[in-house]
Amino acid sequence: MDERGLPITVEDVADDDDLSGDREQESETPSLPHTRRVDDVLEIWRIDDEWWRIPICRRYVEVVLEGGRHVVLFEDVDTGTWYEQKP
Amino acid sequence: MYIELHCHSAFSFLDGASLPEQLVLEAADLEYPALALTDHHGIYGSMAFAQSAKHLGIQPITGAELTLLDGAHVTLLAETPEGYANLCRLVTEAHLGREDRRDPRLDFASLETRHEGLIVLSGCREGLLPRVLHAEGLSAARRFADRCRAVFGRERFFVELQRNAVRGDRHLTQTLAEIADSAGLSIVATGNVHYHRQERAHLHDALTAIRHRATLDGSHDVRKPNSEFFLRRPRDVAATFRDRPDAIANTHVIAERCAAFDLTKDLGYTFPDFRGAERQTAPKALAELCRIKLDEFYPPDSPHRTEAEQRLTEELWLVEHHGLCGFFLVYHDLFELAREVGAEVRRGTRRAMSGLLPGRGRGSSVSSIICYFLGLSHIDPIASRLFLGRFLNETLASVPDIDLDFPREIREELIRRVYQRYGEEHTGLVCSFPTYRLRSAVRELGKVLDLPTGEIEQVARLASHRSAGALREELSKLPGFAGRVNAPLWRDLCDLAEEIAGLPRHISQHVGGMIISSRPLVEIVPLERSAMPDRVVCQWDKDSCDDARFIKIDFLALGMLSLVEECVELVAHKQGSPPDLSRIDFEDEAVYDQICAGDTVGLFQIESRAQIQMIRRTRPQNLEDLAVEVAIVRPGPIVGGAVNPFVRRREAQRHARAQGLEYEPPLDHPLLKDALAETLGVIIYQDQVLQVCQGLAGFTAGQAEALRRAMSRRRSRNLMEDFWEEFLQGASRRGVSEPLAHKVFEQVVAFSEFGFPKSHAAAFGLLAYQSAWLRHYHPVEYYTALFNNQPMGFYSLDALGRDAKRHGVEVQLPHINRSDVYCSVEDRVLRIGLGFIRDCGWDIAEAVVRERERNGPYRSLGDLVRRAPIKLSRDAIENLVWVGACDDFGLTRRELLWQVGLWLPPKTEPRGPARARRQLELPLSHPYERLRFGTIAADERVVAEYEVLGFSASGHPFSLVQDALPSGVLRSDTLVSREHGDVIHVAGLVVARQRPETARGFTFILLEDEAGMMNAIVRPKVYERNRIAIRSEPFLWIAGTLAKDDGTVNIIAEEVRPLTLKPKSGATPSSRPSTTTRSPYRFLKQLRRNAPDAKSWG
Repeated sequence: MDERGLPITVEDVADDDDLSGDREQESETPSLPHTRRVDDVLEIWRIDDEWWRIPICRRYVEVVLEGGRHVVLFEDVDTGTWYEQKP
Repeated sequence: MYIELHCHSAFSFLDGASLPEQLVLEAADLEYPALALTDHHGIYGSMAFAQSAKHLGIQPITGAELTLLDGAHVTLLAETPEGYANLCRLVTEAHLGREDRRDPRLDFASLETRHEGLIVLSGCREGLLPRVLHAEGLSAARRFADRCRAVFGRERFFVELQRNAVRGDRHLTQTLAEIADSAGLSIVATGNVHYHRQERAHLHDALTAIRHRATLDGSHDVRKPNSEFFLRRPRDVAATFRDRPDAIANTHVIAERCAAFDLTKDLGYTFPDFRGAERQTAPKALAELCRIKLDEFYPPDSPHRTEAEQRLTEELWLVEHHGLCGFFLVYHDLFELAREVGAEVRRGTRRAMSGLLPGRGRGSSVSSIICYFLGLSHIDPIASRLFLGRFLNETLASVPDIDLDFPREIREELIRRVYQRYGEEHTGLVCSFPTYRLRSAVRELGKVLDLPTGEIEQVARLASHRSAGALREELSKLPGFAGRVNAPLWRDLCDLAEEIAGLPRHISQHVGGMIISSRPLVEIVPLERSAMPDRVVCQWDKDSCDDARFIKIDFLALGMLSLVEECVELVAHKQGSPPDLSRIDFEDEAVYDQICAGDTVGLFQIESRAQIQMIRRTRPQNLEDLAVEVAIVRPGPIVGGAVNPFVRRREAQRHARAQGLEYEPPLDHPLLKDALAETLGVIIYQDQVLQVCQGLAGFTAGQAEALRRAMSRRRSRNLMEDFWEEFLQGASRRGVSEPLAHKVFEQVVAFSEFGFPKSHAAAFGLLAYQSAWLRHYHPVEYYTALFNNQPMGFYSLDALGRDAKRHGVEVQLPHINRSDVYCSVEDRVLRIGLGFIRDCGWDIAEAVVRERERNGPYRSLGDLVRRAPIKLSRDAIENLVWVGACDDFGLTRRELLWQVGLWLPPKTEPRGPARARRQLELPLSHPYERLRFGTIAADERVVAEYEVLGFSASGHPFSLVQDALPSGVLRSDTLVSREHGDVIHVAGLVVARQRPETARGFTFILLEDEAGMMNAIVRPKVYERNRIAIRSEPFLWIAGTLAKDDGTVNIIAEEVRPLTLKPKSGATPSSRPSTTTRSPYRFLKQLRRNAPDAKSWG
């Protein structure tokens, strides 16, 4: 994201084929062996919920990777950590 | 530059989390040049919004978001005055055209025919186009866009695009933009704002859950998906729409177009014109009318004639100067209408000949001689030396209020007649907006957070503060809750309560304000149905109506007038003719003796605990003194520190007079003499606030008028404080020192709190005296009327019933063959009506009485069950038996209850809506009906009375537990003989509990024992220590010291506990077995469940 919160192209995005079967996979420091370029950012949205329990504040980005695969990533707004959303 | 055109405030009721003023402030911070307010189904907050926006240099745009019949939303903005009128009509139609008043919807066809001057936006994600797109697909959406273009024109219809970081926004807005492009329509960006700052999103979630009656967990589907619905920085929104800059540019275009309408000055409201006979001008007609009355009310030999003439000349000049002659004549016309209504309502009754006015004036208008002549006031303003300036002055900025009180039934009919006379489109009641306070906030927010109901209720009941913002402080002091302040969920509760404080909850009806307009009112402010049938309210409250320069007519229902009407009727029935209350002796010593003794329970305005304390020390001797009594126990004089000096000076005055001396009250400054001499140097009336400012600080009439307006507004303290500089400068010019000016100004500002003008106090003082006179000379009739006109006043029926007994009135239980529907008079007896019985109700009681009148008295329980209306349930019949209504059938109550079981099926058996009959058509005997049972005990009777009637007619429950009261408890009637400073113990039923905001944390408890009432004062520390008992126990034991001061007796509480009773001792049998309880412990337990709630304030 740039300073206005708008998307910029990211280089390193994990390919889920190489990740474990967890539904959400932390990737704070992407150092995964297989990476793909982002061809397009399809949509950005945000979720705020459960603030009365354990707050969920996430910024989601749906991207198209080179090769055409769709990936949904999200950032935990409070910690700045990025995750990949598994279908 | 982006301008927000879609913005909800808290006036979207549970779908907006910020006040209009908060949105405006935030917009100013973000440097918005203009802002629209588009609340759901109305413009409730638009006037406050517009005033506030203009104050900060922001262009306010007036609009609303309406829901169409199919559920689609559409956003409408007023471009021109015509568009605004159309907006009001459309909003009105959405409300009045529906069966369910809570679900306003508009037919799209109406919008198609009435859109001139409006800018139509296609709505949010639930809007016109998105719904068609979602439900019927792209082609249908394109066709619909074409239709909108054809109907509204491309200049008036804009496709609305919203990007709030909601999944699907991008695709939706791109599709909508394509549809717009292909249809030749313009697009516009909007933010769908629901709160002014992002952190308010939590409150919005909670409000949404409240709206859906769900918890936060259970409202996931209806809550907003994120916190992006706040007022964003214009450049951030522009960046979000950088792919469609035209969507941003069009916000500016629309705002510029909407500048053609200014809500604060383009309303075009006018009061109906006077239509004089033979083309007589209004000033001439008014003057003629008044001159005739002048001769009648002030004949040439009247001592007030000259002054009255001068006052009339002055008022007529002022009225003509302000162009208000027609206004007064229309009021006269309304009062004549009220006379007709009053005559019709009273026709056929004995009080028809009593000379009772249909209603009475109240408020500042009572000071006007014109109002006196027109019948709008019943107080002689010259004889009562009433100050005119509060009502009418040369620089009047708004039309003066004329408030009229009516008995309830006359008011109901009068409102209907006003609708008929001026037309439904021209008339509406003023609304009000109940706001969240501590209790409502705790209850509703506690529910959505899913906190334990019992604990939430405990907090709500035990809390002392009224403002929801004080919840954190409150919790930290509450026993058992102090640790919760930072606990999960409770912390959220505190945060949310702080934010919700003062937000409007829903629309309600103002107590009596009515607006009449010569131009259709529906074109000036939308109308909607009130919760009461046949009532229509406008969407603006008192302040917005004032800002709109509407003329508000206050038709108020005053329960005491209904009581007086009924009492006069009962007296007329007894003595053949009604008393003429305008000609009674207003100097009657016997009446004043009773008042001065503090024997004022049940009287108008002088009955409260504080009033009784005051009256014993100030000892009023005439109507003028009574006016002071009515006015002094109010927040204005209390906060201004007027009360204690007045009481002391009044006592000094009395002592001086007793010695034949003149009393000169001390004054802070000689310049205050004219204004304050009559109230012994302190400010008691609102009028005196203006007089003080004129006298001490040389305020001009214009300044005084501005101060008067400030005084009558919400949040008036801030507005009044703004006058300090002017006050100080004026006072300095007159040689007044700054400390003294400051001291007096503090007293002036204190009247930002509630206070009375003298004219109002005079009107109420008169009614207070008339109520005292009626009670003194006709106590049975008075108490009967008092019972029948509840709820009113300071006391429960329980306390009133015992006060009636102290005045020699016997209160008798309902009787199936003697009671009427309401309470009635039987010689010296007040007979309780059948309608007072639980589960019976007025309609059923009426049917029971009708059957008795038609076919004779009920002869037995079986006869009652056979003949009574089918709706008289088994519960109601049992209740009748429990309170002795069937005692005359010759059986004990237990035997009667047994018979109920014989004639009627068990409660658990499925049956119809009322009771099923079993072999009841023939008066056959039942084989088991002659079984014998003993009677019920005295304590069971008392418990039954509380349970069934809500009060005990048999006497105070303590009469049955005297022996069981804790050792050392004194009866209230023995306190007078005790010494000041004595340490004492008392116990009693809590009649009232007060913790006024003006009392700096002190709490006052009114306790009643068998002998009467006593007043306990609880200091803040004692209160905190004993809070649970004080706030929740119906029976209390109090230890404290006695404080006696010039006729008043108080207990300064040191310890307050729930009352416990000693177990009954077998060794000392009571000498009065029939009037004592079998088990004091059980009796108290049952009473605690059934005792009437204490009247509680604060």
